[in-house]
Amino acid sequence: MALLKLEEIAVEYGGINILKGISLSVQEKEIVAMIGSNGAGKTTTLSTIMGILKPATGAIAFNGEPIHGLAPEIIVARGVSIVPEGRRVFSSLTVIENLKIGAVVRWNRSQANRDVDEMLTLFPSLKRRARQRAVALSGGEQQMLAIARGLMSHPKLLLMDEPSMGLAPLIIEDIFKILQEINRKGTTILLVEQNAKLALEFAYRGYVLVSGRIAKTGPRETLLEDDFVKKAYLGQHDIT
Amino acid sequence: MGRPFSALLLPRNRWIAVIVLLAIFVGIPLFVKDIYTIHLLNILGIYVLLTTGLNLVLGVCGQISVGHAGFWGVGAYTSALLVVKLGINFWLALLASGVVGAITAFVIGPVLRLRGHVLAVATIAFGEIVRLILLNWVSLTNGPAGFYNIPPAKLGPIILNTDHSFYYVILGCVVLNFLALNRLVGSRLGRIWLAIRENEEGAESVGVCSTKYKIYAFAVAGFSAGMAGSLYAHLTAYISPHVFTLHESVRMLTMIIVGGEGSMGGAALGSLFLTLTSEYSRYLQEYSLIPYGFVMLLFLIFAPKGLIALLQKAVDWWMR
Repeated sequence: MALLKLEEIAVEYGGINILKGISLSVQEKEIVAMIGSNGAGKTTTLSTIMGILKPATGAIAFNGEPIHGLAPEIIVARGVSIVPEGRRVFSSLTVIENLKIGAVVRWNRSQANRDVDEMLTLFPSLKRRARQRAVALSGGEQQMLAIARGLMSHPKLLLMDEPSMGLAPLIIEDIFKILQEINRKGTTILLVEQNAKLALEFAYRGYVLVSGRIAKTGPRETLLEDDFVKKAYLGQHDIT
Repeated sequence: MGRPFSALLLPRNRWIAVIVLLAIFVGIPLFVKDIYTIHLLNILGIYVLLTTGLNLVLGVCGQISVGHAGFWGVGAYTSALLVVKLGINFWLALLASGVVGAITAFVIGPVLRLRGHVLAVATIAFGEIVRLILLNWVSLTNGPAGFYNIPPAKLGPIILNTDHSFYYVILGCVVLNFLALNRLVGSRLGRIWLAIRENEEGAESVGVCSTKYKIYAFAVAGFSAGMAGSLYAHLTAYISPHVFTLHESVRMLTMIIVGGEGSMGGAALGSLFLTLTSEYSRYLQEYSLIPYGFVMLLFLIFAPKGLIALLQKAVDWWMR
C-alpha cells in the first residue's frame, strides 16, 4: 500500500485551474521527485497535500486514510510535514524556538527538549547558533533549520519544496546528504525541484509536471534518459 | 522583523527600574491631592489595561482588531448588571467582567478564522454589534440612557468612592495585568503568536492551528478589556453605549502605534501620551483633531517604531 496516494486531484486558485487532475503515489521509505518549470503546479500540489488548499475534486489518502479536507494541523499530526519554499523560518524567533514551533502538534515539553537536542546534533551548524534569531542565519543554515523544524513533528512523510533554491552548490550538496541520511533512517521524502538533474539523481522515481498535469513518470534512469525530459529540463539539446 | 520588547528599558537593572516606577506610582496619590490629576491617572490606567491587551492581538499576534471597545463595553455592562441588579460584590463582578470578556472572544471565535483586512472589517462589525445591543436591549441595559449610580467598590468597611482610594485598585490591576501579559509574551504561547504574526500560513503548514491561537490572544485581550470595563463603570458610576464606540477602538489602536507596536511598555506610553494630549487640547474642541492628526503623521514618518523606541534610544545614549 502506498504511503501517499493522490487521485485525480484538481485545484482551483483565484479562478484558475492550477492542477487539472493529477494522480501520484509515494511508497514507504521512498524518495520521489516532482520536477517541472515555474508555475507547473508543484508548490500547489504540496500545499494541497498539507491541507492549506482544498482540492476541487479528487482524493488524497495517507496511510490508507483520506486526508483531503482535513485541517493542516491534523495532517501534520497524522505524520506529514513540509519544508516550505524559500525556507520561511520565523525570523524573529531563535533557532530553538523555531524548532519547538515544529513540535506544536504533539506538544510534550520533555520530548520536545530531547528532540531539539537531537536536531542540534544532526545539524551541527545550528548548534552554534541555537540561541540566535533565525534572521541572523545564512541561507544554508535557514534551510537546515527549516528541515529540522519539519522533522520535529516526527513525520513519516517529509515534503520538500525547492530545497536548492538560492543556495551555493556546496551547501546544496550538504543539504542533500542530510536528506539522504534522513531517508535512510526511515522518513519518506517527496521532493519538488526546478533543478531537475539534481532531483532525479537524488530520487528513486520521478514525476514530470507540465501545466497542472503529470506529463511523464518513471524510475530515475528512465527519466534521465528521456528525450523530452532532457530537452525541457536537463538543458541537453540534440545538435542536429 | 523586530521582536516585542518589554517596557523594561534597562536590561541589566530591569527589576530596579520596575520597582522605582512602581514606587513612584504608589507614591503619587500621597503627594498629589488634586482630584483632577488622580482622575486622569485612573482613566490612564484603564486605557493601559485596554491597550496592553490589544497590543497582544496587534503587536504580538499580528491581527488588526478595530472592535476592542466592544470587549470594554461587555465588561462594563457585566459589572454594572451584576452589582446593580444582582447585588454582587464588586470584586467578584470585576473578575466576572474579565471572564465574560474572555468568553466573548470564544463566542466570536469562528470569525477569527478570517485574515488581514477582512478580519479588521469583521472586528469593526463586532464592536458595532455590541454597541447596538447595548443601545437597543433597553430592558436589560437601559438603552441610550445607560446606567446611573453604579455603586462604588468596597474593601471591607472602606468605601472606595474617591479617585484617590480607587486609584490603588486600578494600579493593582494594571500591574498584575502587565506582569501577566509580559509573562505570556515570553512563553511558548507567545512564540506561537509571534510565528502567526510573521507568517500565518507558514505557521499553519507546520501544524499551528492559527484560529485557535488567535482566539486565545483575543480572549486574553478580552479579559483585560473586560476588567477595564468594570473598573471604568465603578470609577465613573455612569456608563452608556456612547462610551464604547468605534472611535474609542481606533483611539486604542492609535495609542499602540504612537507608543510602539509590539511593546507592552510602548502601549502604556502611547496611552499616556494620547490621554494627556487629548486632555490638554480639549479647549480646542473639534479643532483638537487637527493637531492630533498632525502629530500622528509626524510619528508615522519620523518615529514609526513609536515612543518606546525613542525612549530606548535616549536611554542607550545616556548609558553610553
